[in-house]
Amino acid sequence: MWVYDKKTEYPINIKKSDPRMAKLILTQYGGPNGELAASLRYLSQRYAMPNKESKAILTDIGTEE
Amino acid sequence: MDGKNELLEQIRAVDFALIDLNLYLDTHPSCENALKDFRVLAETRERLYKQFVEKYGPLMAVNGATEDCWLWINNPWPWDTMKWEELKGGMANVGLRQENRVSDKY
Repeated sequence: MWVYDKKTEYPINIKKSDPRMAKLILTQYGGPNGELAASLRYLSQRYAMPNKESKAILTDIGTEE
Repeated sequence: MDGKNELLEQIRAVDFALIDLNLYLDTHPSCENALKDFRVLAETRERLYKQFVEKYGPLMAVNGATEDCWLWINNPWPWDTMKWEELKGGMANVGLRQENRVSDKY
């Protein structure tokens, strides 16, 4: 489950528009090796974890990403 | 910096620290120092959050309803912080036009 918070985790201060950089960043977010793919991998891997520490850390890293 | 941004900045800083402590505690669940820090920051967050929501509106949908109004859909969203004029030049290159920004009409 996902709960939306109407703020960014870290402050961003975009000074000018830069579509090329925007494209790169979008790929980092949603591309094949991006954050989204990584987060879903963590959230799948946690099901195979043997102890409570690793279940928790993979759940929370996946959530944070 | 105006009061709203200043308060939001404080909340952001506390939340960031809480996320880090959360991850640390997951693998060090009996670390007393981290537990203490987490408790203090969680209380601070609670207080700042409440203050923000009362003054400037909801940060989460669960705080979005008043008696007669659904405040959650109101601007700004996190990406609404730039002035349109500053963006216009570059955005023309990716095919967006000012008149497409429905959100400004309401």
